[in-house]
Amino acid sequence: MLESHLSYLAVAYGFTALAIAIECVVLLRTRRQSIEQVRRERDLDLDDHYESIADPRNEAATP
Amino acid sequence: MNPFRFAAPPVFYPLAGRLLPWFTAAAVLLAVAGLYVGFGIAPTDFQQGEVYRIIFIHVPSAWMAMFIYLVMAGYAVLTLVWRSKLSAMMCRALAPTGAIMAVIALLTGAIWGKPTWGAWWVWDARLTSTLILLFLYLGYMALVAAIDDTTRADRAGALLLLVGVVNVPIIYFSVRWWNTLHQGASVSLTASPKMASTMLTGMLLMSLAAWMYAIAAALHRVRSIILQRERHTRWVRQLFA
Repeated sequence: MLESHLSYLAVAYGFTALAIAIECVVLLRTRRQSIEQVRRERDLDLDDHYESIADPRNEAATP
Repeated sequence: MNPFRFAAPPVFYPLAGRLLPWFTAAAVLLAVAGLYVGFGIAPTDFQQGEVYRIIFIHVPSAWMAMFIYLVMAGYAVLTLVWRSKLSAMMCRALAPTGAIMAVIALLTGAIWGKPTWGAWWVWDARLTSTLILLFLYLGYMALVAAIDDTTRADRAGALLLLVGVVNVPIIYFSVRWWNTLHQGASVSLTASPKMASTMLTGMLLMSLAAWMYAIAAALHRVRSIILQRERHTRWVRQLFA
């Protein structure tokens, strides 16, 4: 009984740890890819005219 | 000070970066404390034995799955009414974490159900409505990914979130409205808890850990989304100059 219960616990906690670990790895990869994309596009300078920093949607989300 | 200025990506991006380590550290510390209380101090349940300790992940993940959806629905309103860019980004940032919480809640529930109910799954109101919540998360992510125009995708996603929010009270009240195999609420704002105080402490610590984790994950993800969407702006390019 106890062993069977412990195996259920192990599976539940093991699965949770795995799910969180996968999410963390994906988060870190996505972050690295985003930074690489910014750097690559900046270096290639494909887009000469940057969107203005004064984009009204950047300035405020005021109603 | 205008609080809406934090809705501007150039302001929010560094703020999220500063907050991220604090939420991450809080999540780890609270999870360690919660697991210590849950496994080291809380007694064995007289009916269920050791297997009840699944509660320390099942309940927090189920609460977070519902709460994250409500937060996303709030951001959906901001997206539709004020067309705030950051709100739409927050919806996208929260969705995968909400979906993972729903998956954890469903799977740990199934693992708990087998030794206590004798079945991995029953088409019970609570279980079925939680499964629908998972489908809403997946549907939202699929919808915003399927539309190329970001603004249209954000608005369509926000509409789906608002339609789906009706499912959250159904999940919460399902155990009262219908005769379900799932037990009723063990913790309520209006009644005393139906569990030992050490069990409750462990569960609340793990719930706080889940909150901190979800906030940290959302902040991390929204920073990536901001970089992707704003990569042509001068302020983003200057970040990595």
